[in-house]
Amino acid sequence: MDWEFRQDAPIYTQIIEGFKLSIASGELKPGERLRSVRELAAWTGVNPNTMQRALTELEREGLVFAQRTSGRYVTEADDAVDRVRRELAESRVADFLAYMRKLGFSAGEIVNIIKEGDN
Amino acid sequence: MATLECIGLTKRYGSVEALDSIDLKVEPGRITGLLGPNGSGKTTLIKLANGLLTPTSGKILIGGMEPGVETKKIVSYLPERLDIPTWMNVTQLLGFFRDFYADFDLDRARDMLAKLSIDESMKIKAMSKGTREKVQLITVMSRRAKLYLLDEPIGGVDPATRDYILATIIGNYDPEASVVISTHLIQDVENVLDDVVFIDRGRIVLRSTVDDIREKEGKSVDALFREVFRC
Amino acid sequence: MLRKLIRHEFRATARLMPLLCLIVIALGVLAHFVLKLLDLSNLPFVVRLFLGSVIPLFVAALVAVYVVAVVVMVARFKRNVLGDEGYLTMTLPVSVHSIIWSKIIVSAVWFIAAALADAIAVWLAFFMNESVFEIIRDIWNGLMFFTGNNAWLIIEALLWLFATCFAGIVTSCLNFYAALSIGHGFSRGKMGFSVLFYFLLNSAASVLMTVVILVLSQSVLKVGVPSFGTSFAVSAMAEWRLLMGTVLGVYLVNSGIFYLLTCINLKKRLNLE
Repeated sequence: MDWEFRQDAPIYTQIIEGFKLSIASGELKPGERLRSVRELAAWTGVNPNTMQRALTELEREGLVFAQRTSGRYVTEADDAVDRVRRELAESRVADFLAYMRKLGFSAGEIVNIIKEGDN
Repeated sequence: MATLECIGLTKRYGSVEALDSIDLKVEPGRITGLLGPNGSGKTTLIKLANGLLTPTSGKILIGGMEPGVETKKIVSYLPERLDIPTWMNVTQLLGFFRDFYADFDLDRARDMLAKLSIDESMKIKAMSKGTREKVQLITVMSRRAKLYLLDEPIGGVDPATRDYILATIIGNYDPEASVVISTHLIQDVENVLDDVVFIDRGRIVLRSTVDDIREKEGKSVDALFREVFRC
Repeated sequence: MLRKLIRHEFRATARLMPLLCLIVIALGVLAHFVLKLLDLSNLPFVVRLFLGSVIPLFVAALVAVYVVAVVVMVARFKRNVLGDEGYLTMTLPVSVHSIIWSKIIVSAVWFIAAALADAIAVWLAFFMNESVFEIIRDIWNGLMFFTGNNAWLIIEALLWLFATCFAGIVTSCLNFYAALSIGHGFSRGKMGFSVLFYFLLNSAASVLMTVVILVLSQSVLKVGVPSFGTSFAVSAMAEWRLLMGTVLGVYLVNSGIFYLLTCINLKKRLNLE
């Protein structure tokens, strides 16, 4: 992960997004073991407390679970991966639609632009 | 107990007041940024914590103790200057640290040196400036101290070295220890900090966490700093 | 911790002194052979001149060993305590006293080493040199005569002398340390103030010494008519003890004051960078 962190949002929320993307895209496989907090922190160049906060939040959302002695793992629940894919997609679509509406496009025009764009 | 505590700490040099009634607490497991422009009192505060200076009034406590031989045992200090004797070679330098500091982790130091391919028989004076700085950093971070005081650790280094320094600080994280980084280069260091303290002309002007600032102000600490310290 | 500091201090200062001691001893051997050659009177003048120049060189080396010892000691203190290395030295978990004492002890050892090297070099130079032997024999016989053949008195007198010289060396050591420590506390003109305070302290110490000795000589010491034999030896020895003891005492007082000044300035007025 070669992350560029944005300046205007807390880092832990950006880390959560990054993990969600990795899980949703299959880069991180279900049941895959995550590296330790310290290793992840060093790798991304962030404070270990920040990384810990992000991982705790991911646990709370059920995307990651912890085995007491062996570390953290990506969830194996298949609905979880689908859920997060949907969640990320919906968020992007909402942003996209808001942007397009601001440009003044109607729903129909938006659909056409999408079709053209996907060639 | 707070690792570092300042109570009404004041330091005066003749008529110049370097620190004016500072109240501060640094808790274990936190990485704190002491941020301010040059001459704001950051280095003075660090030297007081080290016992290199004595307060004019007020108190400074490390692990509940006033600066002295006992606090020096638990404080690891990286000054802005190069302080390692240049006549030594690396092996002798490691031996020196092991002699005087019970908490010095020799294996850790040798490991870090090996990863940088630094030959232990090499003399310090034969090394480039960048390598010397890395060796100094390694000796400081190889101590299992309770308080790490880093005075401008990334000033004047190239980006790759800067990344190495920050990665070393993160990799060395100990939930029972505190790290205080004093710097005026905030952008590079922000991602590593938990807490920030803005200091200006000897006074604390702001105390917060990185997350709070980003959430509440919607901007980075660096951006906020530029606003607060606008000329 | 003090032992570790001392060990470390030796390692740091042992670059130059041992080499110099060896050089001066080697020059002593050289001087020996030169003197032997000069004794032969059938050499051309130019050769004698050339050989003869070794002697002043030898004397210069004898002095140089001391001078270098002083320079090494001063430079070491300045660099290790007041320079960039001070950031490391003064944050070590040791007391300021340990730091100062380790430096005094090691400096003292180097001074003794210098003295020994000089003594050995001189002895080698004059070894089996008849003319010098005769002079020494005459001096010894004279001393024995004065003390009523009591060699122990001579030895005791010499011991007093050495102890006092040693105290003098330690005092001048501390004189430098105190001056440097005081000068360092100023934000500008550190070296200037150090030099100034060196002379101020030195003068004060000398004045004290002079005054004390004057008082002593006026009130206690009597320059009587020498009556040779045991009784003269006893009274002369008593006066010698008193004189040396007093000088030693003044040196101790001066050292103590210099030590305190150094300590206070390092604790309260340390001004690194």
